[in-house]
Amino acid sequence: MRKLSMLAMASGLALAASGVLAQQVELRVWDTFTETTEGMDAMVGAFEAANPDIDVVRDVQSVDDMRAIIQTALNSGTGPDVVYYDTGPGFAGVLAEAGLLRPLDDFYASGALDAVYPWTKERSTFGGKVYGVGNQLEFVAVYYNADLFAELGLTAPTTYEEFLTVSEALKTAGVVPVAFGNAAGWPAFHNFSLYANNFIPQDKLEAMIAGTESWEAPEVVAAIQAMFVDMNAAGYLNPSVNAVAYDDANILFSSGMAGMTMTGSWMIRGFKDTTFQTNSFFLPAPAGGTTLPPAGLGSGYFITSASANVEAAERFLTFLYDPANASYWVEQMSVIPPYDVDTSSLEVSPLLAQTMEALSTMQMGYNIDVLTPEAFNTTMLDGFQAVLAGDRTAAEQAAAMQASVAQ
Amino acid sequence: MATSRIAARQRAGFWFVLPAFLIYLVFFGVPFVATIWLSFTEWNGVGQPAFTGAGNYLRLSGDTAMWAALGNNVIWVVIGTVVPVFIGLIIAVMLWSDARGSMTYRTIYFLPVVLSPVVIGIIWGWIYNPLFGLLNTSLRAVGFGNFAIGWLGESETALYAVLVTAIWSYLGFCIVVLFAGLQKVDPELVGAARIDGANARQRFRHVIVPQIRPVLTMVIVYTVIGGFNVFDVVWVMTSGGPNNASEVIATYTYEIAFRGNEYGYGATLSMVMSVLSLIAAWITMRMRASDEGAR
Repeated sequence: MRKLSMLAMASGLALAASGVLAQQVELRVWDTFTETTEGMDAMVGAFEAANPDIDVVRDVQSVDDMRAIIQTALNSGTGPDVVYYDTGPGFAGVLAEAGLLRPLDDFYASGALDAVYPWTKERSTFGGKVYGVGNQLEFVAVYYNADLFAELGLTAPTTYEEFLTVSEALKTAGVVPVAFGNAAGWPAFHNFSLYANNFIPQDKLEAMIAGTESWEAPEVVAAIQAMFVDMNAAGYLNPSVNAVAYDDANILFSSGMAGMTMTGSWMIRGFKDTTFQTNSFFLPAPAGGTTLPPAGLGSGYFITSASANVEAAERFLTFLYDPANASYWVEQMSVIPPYDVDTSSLEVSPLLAQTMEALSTMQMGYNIDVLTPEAFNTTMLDGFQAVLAGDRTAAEQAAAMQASVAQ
Repeated sequence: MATSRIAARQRAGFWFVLPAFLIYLVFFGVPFVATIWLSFTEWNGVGQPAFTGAGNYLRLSGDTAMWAALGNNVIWVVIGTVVPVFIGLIIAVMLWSDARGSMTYRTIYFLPVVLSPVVIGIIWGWIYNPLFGLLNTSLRAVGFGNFAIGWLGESETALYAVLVTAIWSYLGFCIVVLFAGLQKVDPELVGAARIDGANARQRFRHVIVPQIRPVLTMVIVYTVIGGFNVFDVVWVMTSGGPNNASEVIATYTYEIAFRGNEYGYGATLSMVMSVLSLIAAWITMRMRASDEGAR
C-alpha cells in the first residue's frame, strides 16, 4: 500500500513537472548590444526571474550582421520572436511592408507602454500602423577636454563664431581642434546634422526631409561649406580626415591630442575612461540663430509576425520599457530609454546626467540620416568624402543630394 | 562478360560521384540558377521578386558607378597580375638556381598567403594610418614628411595602396607555384644554352619560361579571375572609398544588394562578374590549348 502511494506521488510529481515544462516558453530575442551585453544579460536575467515561465534565448549580433541576415531569417521562418532593429523606413519599414513584423497598435492601446514618449511611435509607424517601440535616445554634440579648455582659459562657446575662435586657440596651442575620422563615410552624417540643424530654419529642414523643399537651398550649401570645406581648410580638423577611422578619431580625442570631437551620446560610456574631465556643449548656431542639437532614436524592438509567442514577447517589452527598470539601461548600459527617468536615485556620470537633463528640457533637431532614404544617405556618404577631398564643391554636393531625392 | 564488368564499374563510379554532385548542385548549381533568375527581377530582399525582364541589364549601360568600379577592376587585374607574376617568377628562378636557404626564403615569402585577407587588411590599414602608421612615421623620420599623406583616404592613392597590400599578400603564392613548376625544367637544356653562349636573360626567356608556360598560364588565369572577383581586402581597408575611388565591382555589388536592398540589380552585377571571369577563363584555356598544340 505504501509502495502504491509512493508510486502515485511520483507519478503526480512527474505529471506536474511535465505540465510546467509544457507551459515553458522559449522566447528568441535578437539584439545588437554587443558592447553592453552584460548589462542586457542582467536585464534579461531579472525578467526571467520575474517571469519563470519564459526562457529568453538572446542572440547578439553586430548591426551590420543583423542588417545582412534578418530579412533572410524572417523570410525563411527561422527568425526570432523579438528583434532589435533600425527603426527607419529603409530597415524596419521594409520588413513591415513585407508583412514580416507584427503591428503593435493593440499592445500600445493596452497601456503597457504608456510611459514611452508618444513621439517615438512616429519613427516606427509604417502605413498607418505602429510596428515597433523605439529605444536609445541619442543626440549629437561637441565633447571637449575640459581640463585643456581650463588650461587655455577657454569656455564652451555660445555662438558659432565663438566656436571658431575656440578652434583657432586650440590650433595655436598645437592641439588638433576637432578630431574627425571619416574613413567609413557615415561619421560625416553626424557632422552634417549638427550644422544643418543650426544653419537651416527648422521648418525648412523638416520640409527637405519630407521631400517638399529642395536641398539645393543656400543654407544647405552654407552648412556643407562651413563643416567640410572651411573647417578643413582652416586646419581645425586633423589631417587626412578621409583616411582616419572613426575609432581612431575617438582615440585622438581620448588621448588628449585633440581638444574636441563631434559625436553622439552613445560615446559617453567610452569617455568615462579619459584621464581628463570631458564635458559637452551643443554646436552653437551662428549669432542670432537657434541652436538645435540633432537628436533621434537608435534602434527599437519589434515583434515578428511569425512569432508564436506574442504574449511572452509583449511581457518582455513591457518589462524593458517599465521605468522601474531604468537602472539597467542607464547605469549598466549608458542607454537613455524613451521615457522620463529620475536620475537622482541612479549612479550616472555627470556627463550622462547632463545629457539626460538636456534631452528633457531642450528643443531638439533632427538626426537627418535616420529619417532619409538609403539612396540619399549613400549620396551623403560618398559626397561628403568628395567635398573633404576637394573633388566636389559644397554647391555640387547639395545638388547631388537633391538629385538623389528626385530619383 | 567484360561488358557487364565495365557497366558495373560505371554504376559504382556513378554512386561514388553522386554525393559530391549533389553537394555541388545544392550549394552551387541552385544558387547560380537562382541568381540568374533574380537578375531579371526587382527585389528588396523580402516579399516576392517582381519580374522586370532585361530592365536590370539595360540599367547597367547607364550606371556610371558600375563602369567606374569596372575600370578599377581592370587596373587591379593588369597591375595585380603583371607585378606579382613577374616578381614572383624572378624570385622563383633565383630560389631554384640553388640559392642558399631556398626553403627558408620560400617559407617566408609564403607566410602572407596563409593569413586571412581580413587580418592583412587590418594590419596594412595600421601601416597606412595617417596618424600613427609605420609608413608615414618612417617617411617623416627620414625627412620625407611631405609625402606622408592619408594613403587610403586620398582618391588618387586609395586603390593603389590597397593593391600594394594585395600584391604583397599574393606574391608568395606565385613564388611557390612557379617554383614547383620550375622543378620540371630540364637543367641539361639550361646548361646546354649556357655552353652555347646564352646569357642569363636569354636562358630565362628562351629556355626556362617556355618550359614552365603551362604553370605560368595557370597562375595568370587564377590571378586574373581573382582580380575580377576581389572583395575582402578592399572592403576591409576602404569599403570602396573615399568617394568610390577604390570601388571594385564586388564591393559595389555588395553595397547595391545588401545596403541598398536592391537584390535584383545586385544579382545582375554578380552576373557581370561571372561573365568577366568566364571570359578570362576561356581565354586562358584557349592559350593553354594552343600551348599544348604547339608542343
